[in-house]
Amino acid sequence: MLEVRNVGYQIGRKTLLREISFDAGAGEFIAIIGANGAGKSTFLKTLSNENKPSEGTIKFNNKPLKSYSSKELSKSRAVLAQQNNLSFNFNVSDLVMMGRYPHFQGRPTVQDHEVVEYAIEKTGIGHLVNRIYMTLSGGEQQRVHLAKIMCQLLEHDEVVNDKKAISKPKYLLLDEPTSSLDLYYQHQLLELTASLTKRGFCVVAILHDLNMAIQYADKVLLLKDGAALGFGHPLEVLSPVNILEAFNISMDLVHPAGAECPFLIHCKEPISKPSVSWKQHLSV
Amino acid sequence: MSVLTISNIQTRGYTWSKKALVLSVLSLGLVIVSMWAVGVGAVKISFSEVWNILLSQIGFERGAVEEQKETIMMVIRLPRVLMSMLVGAVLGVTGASMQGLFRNPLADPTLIGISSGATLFAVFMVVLEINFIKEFNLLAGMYSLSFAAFLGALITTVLVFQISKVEGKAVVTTMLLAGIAINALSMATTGLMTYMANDAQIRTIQFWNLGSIGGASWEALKVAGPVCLIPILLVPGLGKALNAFALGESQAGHLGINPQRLKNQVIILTTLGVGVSVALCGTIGFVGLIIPHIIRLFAGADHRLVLPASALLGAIVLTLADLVSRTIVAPAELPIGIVTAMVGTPFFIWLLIKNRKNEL
Repeated sequence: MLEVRNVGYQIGRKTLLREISFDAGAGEFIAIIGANGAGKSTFLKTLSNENKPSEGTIKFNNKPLKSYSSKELSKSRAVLAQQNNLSFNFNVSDLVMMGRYPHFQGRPTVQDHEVVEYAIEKTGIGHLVNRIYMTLSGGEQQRVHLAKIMCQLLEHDEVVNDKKAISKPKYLLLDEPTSSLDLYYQHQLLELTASLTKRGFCVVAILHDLNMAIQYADKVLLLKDGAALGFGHPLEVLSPVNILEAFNISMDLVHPAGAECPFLIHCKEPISKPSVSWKQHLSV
Repeated sequence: MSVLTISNIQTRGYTWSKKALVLSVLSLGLVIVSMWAVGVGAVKISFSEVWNILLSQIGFERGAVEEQKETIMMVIRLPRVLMSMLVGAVLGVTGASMQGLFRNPLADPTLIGISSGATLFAVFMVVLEINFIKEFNLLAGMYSLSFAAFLGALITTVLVFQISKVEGKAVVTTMLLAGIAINALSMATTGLMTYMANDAQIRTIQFWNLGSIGGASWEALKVAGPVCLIPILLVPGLGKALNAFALGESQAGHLGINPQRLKNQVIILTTLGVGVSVALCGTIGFVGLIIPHIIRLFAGADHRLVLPASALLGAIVLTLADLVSRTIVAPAELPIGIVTAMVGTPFFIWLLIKNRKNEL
């Protein structure tokens, strides 16, 4: 269980996050939605222990984040960053193996290699293993990192029997995981994370596509100016009113007959115009 | 799954046999090169004679060898070759770890000013005759020069690292520019010291600027050996952490690596190694820069292999460089820094051209 209580974050006098609270259980997929600069990445960095919250507490499995050792934390939560750069020409299998670093001392065991092979197969990068990472396309790189963080969290016995639920909840924090993927791999990635949530993973992901959030997320955290505008079921939180508030754009929820789930579409007639135009702004 | 698994099992076997292969080839190379280097010079000592002398030293009598040859080898050549090996290994391994820490293949103790900082402090000690410690105790005097060089190396590293840090990350261009500035400052100050120095001191300063293994002796080895062995033995243990560091500080942190601790370890071990090697042999450029590159070119970027392999190749290359420096203008001696720079510069330029093509 992930418990976030009244989390706030300030840099100098600037408040980037305030009063964010929610619970996420094992097996849940939480999508973080918000406009540019709403604080999504800052919040995810706070969850991943990169930013220390100025107020409030974060608990993973009933234990405060700050009392985890970095080694312990690395085995129960993994982070997929938005930007990945790598110095030196590591090849793909070296990079995926880095996900096993918290698990072995010295040299990797046979079990470590088997976990790596499992993750490589699941992310569909088997044909890339001997390529130099830097020569891959952005989408391929993203999948390599996905394989890496799967290796980081999975224990060997959880790979041997990959239908079984995992023993204790683990957390995947994904910062815009679909950003550089093509349509097929966007859905493949989300299907893969959905299959992990079924086994007891808790996934927190920043998504830009509202319809993907509706389709895959169990709950949505909608952020505006560093505060939560709503948390709950996607269709409740992503109501046209909330979306207008958060993004300043009008969307309609459409549910055509025969479609599996409803979807949001931009409507041509804005419900209301922005209150202050930039011209008025200048004259003030 | 089957096809993928097979290709990966091959990868698995390949990686480990590759590491074993590279390290054993280099070790064998080092043994051959060092035994050969011991024999080359005004008095030639053959391979079998070298072997016999070595055996007799540890108590086995194996065929008679001329006493003169034995003396030359044991008193002059062997400490020199051992010193080349030690310093070469230190330069190779610290160069590789610096490049890993700065996440940049151009980082090198010479390029970013660490060596010149160490030189400057050593020159200070010589010219300003801060030798009160030496009068107190000869051994402590030798240590104090090493300590000064180490201090100079440490101050410059910390300075360069702090100047080039933006939001906790070392920015490479700033780092190189800071290195240029610190190099210039050190050179100017060393120049000032040269101006103030007497003839004997000028020769000592020149020794520091161009480097030489000529000062090698068993006494110097007793001082340098243990200090050099610390980075040689400990840095290869940082391979895993440096690999993760290649992903960036925050991602290394997500993998359970403590970035600050790693930085401290690399900086302390590097400055220790570079400081003592500068104190004993002066500035020897390009070895730390180029050795890790050659290894990466042939064996990939995995620091678990690059670090020990760089130590071994550094030892081989510096032993050969010293061989050239003492034989090419015999009976005089060419400073070893000239040899490494003559060979290293073209390689460095080739590296720049190659990198430029990669970026296009």
